[in-house]
Amino acid sequence: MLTSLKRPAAEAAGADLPSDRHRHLGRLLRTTTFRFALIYLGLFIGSVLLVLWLIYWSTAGFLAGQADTGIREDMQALADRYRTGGMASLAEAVNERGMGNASSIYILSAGSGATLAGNQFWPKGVDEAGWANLPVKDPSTGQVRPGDVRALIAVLPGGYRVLVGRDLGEVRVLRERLERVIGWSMGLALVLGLVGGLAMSRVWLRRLDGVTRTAEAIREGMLVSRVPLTGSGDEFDQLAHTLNAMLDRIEALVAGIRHVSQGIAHDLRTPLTRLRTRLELALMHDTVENPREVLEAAIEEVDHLLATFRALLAIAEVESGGSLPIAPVPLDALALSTGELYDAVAEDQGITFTMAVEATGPAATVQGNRQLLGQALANLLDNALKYTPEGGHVSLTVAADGPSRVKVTVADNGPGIPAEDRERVRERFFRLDRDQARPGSGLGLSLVDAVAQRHGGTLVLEDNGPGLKAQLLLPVG
Amino acid sequence: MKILVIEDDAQAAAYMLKGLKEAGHAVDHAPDGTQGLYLAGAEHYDALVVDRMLPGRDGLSLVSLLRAAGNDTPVLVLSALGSVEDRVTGLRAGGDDYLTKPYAFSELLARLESLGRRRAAPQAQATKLVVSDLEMDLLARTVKRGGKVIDLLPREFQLLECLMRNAGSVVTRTMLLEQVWDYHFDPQTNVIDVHIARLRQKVDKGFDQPLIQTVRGAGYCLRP
Repeated sequence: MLTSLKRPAAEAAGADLPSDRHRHLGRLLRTTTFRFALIYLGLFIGSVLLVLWLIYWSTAGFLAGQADTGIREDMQALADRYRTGGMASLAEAVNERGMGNASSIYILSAGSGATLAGNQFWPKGVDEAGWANLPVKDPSTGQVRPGDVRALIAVLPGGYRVLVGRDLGEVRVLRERLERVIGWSMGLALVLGLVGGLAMSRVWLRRLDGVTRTAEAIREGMLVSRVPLTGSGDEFDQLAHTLNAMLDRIEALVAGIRHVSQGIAHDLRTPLTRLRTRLELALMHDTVENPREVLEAAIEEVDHLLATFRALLAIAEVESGGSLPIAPVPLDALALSTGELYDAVAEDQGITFTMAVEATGPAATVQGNRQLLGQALANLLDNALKYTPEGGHVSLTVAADGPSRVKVTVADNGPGIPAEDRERVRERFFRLDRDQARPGSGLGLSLVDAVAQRHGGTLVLEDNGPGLKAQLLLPVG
Repeated sequence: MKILVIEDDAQAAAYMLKGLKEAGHAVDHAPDGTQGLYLAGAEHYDALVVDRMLPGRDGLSLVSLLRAAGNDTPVLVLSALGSVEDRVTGLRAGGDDYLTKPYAFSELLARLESLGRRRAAPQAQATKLVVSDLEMDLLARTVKRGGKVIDLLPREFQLLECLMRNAGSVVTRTMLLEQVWDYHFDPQTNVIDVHIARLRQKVDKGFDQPLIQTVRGAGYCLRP
């Protein structure tokens, strides 16, 4: 209890300390949700990268390929001019094409390297035939951009050389822009993914914390704690609902145990005291005329105590859910045999007892324990006969209750049970005030109720106007 | 009767031995399962009292071993476990009767005597039971007293049969409830007494000598 009182206070006080924040973050990072978020983020970024790479490749790569094709076509056209018109025609063509075309480069040079025609001078160090990437000087800014010119060089007989090139500066700009976009979007996705993952973990953690806090409170003895519900009806709420239902059951069981312990303490202390007094008196031979009589009374008292114990143990055994010998029990036959057992008692007490069996065979057969069901019936009959006055009437009926249930009814016209006490009489040791003087342990109906529940059935107590109608509803089959 | 008590609790065993001796029986005691098994095999007993929880060897396996060895001495199993299932397993292991602690000594005595009697005179084969001038024909299902026919209901017949088979010894209320109604629980009110009273009306009324006796604190006994 002390720790539970201290802990929230410590948390509140330390919430703003950096170390505490670190601990909180560490806890968030360790959560399953965050790990899932990370995995998801990795997959997401991988697939986006693939898509972007495809876009990049199909745009920048396509433009570069297009430039190569144009260069090859230009070179082919120049070669055609050379074949048809010779060197003079080629020089003319180079000049024509180079005129007013800033993004393309056409150069014709002699073997010495001297430029013969074209829109630029022959670049130094470029002699080999084939493809080359050359630096270019931007005419507007004067800056040299390395490798921006894509060029094809052809060598003619006599050492003449032709160069056809394209300035790919725009393609490069596009490529750079694409790379930047990809970089930024990746960075953004990473940050958003991490923040989102953390936020999601936080939400999950907060919901789980409700469960954890409740479990801790229960562990520390606060059985009334329940998992908070958000009312959204989501899976967390469903879990919370199930857990709360379980806790309700546990609380009821614990309350039952507490109640039984109190009942035992109260109901057994009185007869034990009486017993002790009797035995002490028996020791005083001078004052007691017949000690044998006292001893016999003491035995009777002990027998009563033992019967109470046995009844308690029987209820506990039925409720514990341990294994029991189960077999088909024909309730019609069981009712007749139990009824016959009590018929004589009824007659002896001047009570009319009637039996009616309306359901037989499979319709009256339940899967169960004959001893327990027999005892339940016996308890109901015993109760009815105990409280019905002379000249009264008690009936026992076995009838079908729909296609899947059988109903055993014991009805009397005695004083009955007030409506407000009909639930409480199922509790162990509970007895009506007016019956306190009568013999009885207050366990009879508790056992019947436990037996009914154990067999998947219910005990229904109703007003018989006047009297009590106790119905044992059990599933057949 | 010669009885062997296999019980580890020394005090409980001492009381049981004293009581059985006072009732006129010869009693041996074994404090654990191993000694019990040895004695039960070496000597001839009319009945055994076996505690379920024993050091050395538990009561049920002892009974199973005895039965496997062909020993059919009647066994009364005592147990602190009271459940319905324990009773069934106890009887399945070869026990002839089962008694849950705490029990009344009179109950133990009555059951032991009934077990011993069943063995001494296997009346299951008998077709006629006779006690004094009371005669029961088990085949014709008729009862006569002093030559006069007594009309009994089927349950009354069973009740009287049970008393007659144990004539001379005490039959407890729980034994009657078990043997006649096959119920193994306490009836709260004295239902058995009511049935006995009815039987008395038919069997003893009008005759000089009452046969059905009430044994206070124990049960009933049929004796001339």
